[in-house]
Amino acid sequence: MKLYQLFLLVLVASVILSCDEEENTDSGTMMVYFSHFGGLDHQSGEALELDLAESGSTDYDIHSMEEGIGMFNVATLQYYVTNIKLEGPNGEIFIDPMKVSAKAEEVTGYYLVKEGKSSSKAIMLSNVPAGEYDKITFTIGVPEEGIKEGAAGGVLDPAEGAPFWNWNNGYIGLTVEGMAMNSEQPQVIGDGWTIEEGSYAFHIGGWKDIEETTANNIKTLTFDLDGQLSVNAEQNPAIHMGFDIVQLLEETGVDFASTYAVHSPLLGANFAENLNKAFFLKHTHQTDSHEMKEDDHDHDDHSGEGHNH
Amino acid sequence: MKRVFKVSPLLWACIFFYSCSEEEVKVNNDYKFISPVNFPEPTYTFENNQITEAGFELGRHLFYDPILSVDGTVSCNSCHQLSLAFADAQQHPLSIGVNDRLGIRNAPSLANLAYFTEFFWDGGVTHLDHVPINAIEAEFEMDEELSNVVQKLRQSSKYDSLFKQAFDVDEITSPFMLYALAQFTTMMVSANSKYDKYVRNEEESLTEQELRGLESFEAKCSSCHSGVLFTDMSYRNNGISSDFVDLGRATITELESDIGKFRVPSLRNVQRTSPYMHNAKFKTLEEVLDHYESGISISETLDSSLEKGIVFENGEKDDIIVFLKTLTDYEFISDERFTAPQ
Ligand code: HEC
Ligand code: HEC
Repeated sequence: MKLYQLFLLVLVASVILSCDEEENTDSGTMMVYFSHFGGLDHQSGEALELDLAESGSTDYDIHSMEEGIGMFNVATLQYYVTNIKLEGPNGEIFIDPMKVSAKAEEVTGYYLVKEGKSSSKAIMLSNVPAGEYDKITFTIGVPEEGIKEGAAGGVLDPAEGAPFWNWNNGYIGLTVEGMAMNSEQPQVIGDGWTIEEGSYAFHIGGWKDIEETTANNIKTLTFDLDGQLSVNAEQNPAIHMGFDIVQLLEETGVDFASTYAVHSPLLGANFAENLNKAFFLKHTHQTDSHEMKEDDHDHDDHSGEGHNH
Repeated sequence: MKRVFKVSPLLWACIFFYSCSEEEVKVNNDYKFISPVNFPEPTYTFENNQITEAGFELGRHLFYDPILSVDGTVSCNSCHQLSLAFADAQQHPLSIGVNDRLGIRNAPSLANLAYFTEFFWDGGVTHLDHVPINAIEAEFEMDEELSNVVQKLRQSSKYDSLFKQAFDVDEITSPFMLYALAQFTTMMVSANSKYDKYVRNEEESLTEQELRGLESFEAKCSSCHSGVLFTDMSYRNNGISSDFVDLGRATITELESDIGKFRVPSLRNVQRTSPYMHNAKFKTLEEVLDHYESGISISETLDSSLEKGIVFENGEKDDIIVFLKTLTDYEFISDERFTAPQ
């Protein structure tokens, strides 16, 4: 064996060893789940789990008492969760590292949560410093940092389904599409695409801070947890967040008769303002007993109230 | 300037290799971004996307390849032609159909893009990498089309190896396609006009008439067409219409006070970029100057400096036109690097 080969071997070995050492016992993981709801059951007051409709279907399975909203369904629901931060009472802090890259595997901290794709609804945070946590903060949308680096891969790649406005460059922070009984959207047939009569599309985007306009729809939301969650190497704590589409539309004051096509920052501003009322803490788990399943109905207790097991 | 001399690890490896084998270090400046001395710092994110010969060449193939269009008939080059400083010969109406967004816009010249921070007549796109997505998808915001292009590139026989060489990737993805196009388009630096050589004291002088034109231009045009790029990058209504079908900057800001405002275009190579204005209203520079003198349409958002038109002395318009022609960069519009790949 040549000398330099030996040297290489030692080098590789020492790298492996030092990697081993870095295995941090003073940290753990935190799972953040997102579930989606379509209002409350009128008798029990329980949050009703959202079921996606077939695109173009007129089975209206969601109902709001607000006249302008009425009966509707949701065929697409997706949003970006970014800049996740956890905080604790004793100064504990975890900031999810954010990175934009053309290489898909290098992109971190950007999550596209999509109803119907259960893997996207569970975000696993790792290397969270051990300690107590009682607060979560995250942003809905892709802020300037995600745009200014230019072309990006992975969940930020428009060719891989990243919702992107190419005429006013930026990602669509929240997409809600479906059919509504009251929607006045007429049928539009274009070159290779059709907009269904009675459909609606709410594309909430816009990150630019342009003087005098309300174009910046990037919203950061903070929630107090229902008690404290311990992060350590042994346990698998989880935070379960909810999003209620009926709540969003009612707080925004949507009337489907006039509001069915939202495709600009200004039109989306009202929706963005009310995101903090549509998202809510569902509950937390100190030890997450739930395996991720194809559909995650079974790990919801439908109580809608916070509790801490 | 710092950026220009940044040496990539690859280059270091080459230098190492060359010096070991005792050969001379050959640095090929053809594929380096070199900022002209009379230019500001570029704003493009070269730190993410360093220009290499292989990356540039891939961009060149893509720029000339109609594979990027739905029916395989249109390439970037169809609307952006080298001999016209990458402007468009005919008037190609481009409709960007997000709901009621219809627009007839003239393809601008592509030059000195590395120095811009906002693109398109309305400034809607803030990064050069994102510009081709719009060009490719054009009609309606259906993100399916960019993915189709990627599929087509993956299926073609030539692109696998070109992407591998340029970016060392095993699979073609859209960000690397956009990187390659940006490498090609950022290299489109136009700074060797007669005017530039005069400014840089490179043994070039302007004629008396050209100098008179320059003086008039500075007095009457450079409040908007300012600096070495001949634009202050602002959005203004220069009075070409009072009834704007295309809302211009207001499309992006959604402000009534921005209706009819368009980006002040650079005037480099303007002799070659007819027709003029976002809606291709004028065919000749004479018409443009007549417009500024006596054709201003009054509207709410008209730039206040143009309310009464621009007053020219006898012969002054001719002088200005003669000066504008000194901005033609013949080296740029015949640069072999930008011609169709073999
Ligand atoms: C059908 C004609 C057409 C094709 C094909 C086309 N462009 Fe364009 N290009 C335009 C028009 C028109 C504009 C101005 C659009 C606007 O302002 O909204 C433009 C603008 C641009 C700009 C911005 C210039 C500036 O100063 O803001 C760049 C860069 C560009 N195109 C590059 C490309 C590339 C790269 C391709 C190929 C992927 C391409 N174009 C294909 C017509 C075209
Ligand atoms: C108040 C600002 C302003 C002043 C002053 C001004 N321009 Fe312009 N110019 C513009 C704007 C804005 C446009 C683009 C308008 C559009 O397309 O809607 C433009 C467009 C042009 C174009 C067309 C370029 C192209 O590629 O289509 C030419 C040529 C031009 N100007 C020349 C001049 C000359 C010469 C003067 C001085 C006599 C002048 N301008 C003064 C703002 C100005």
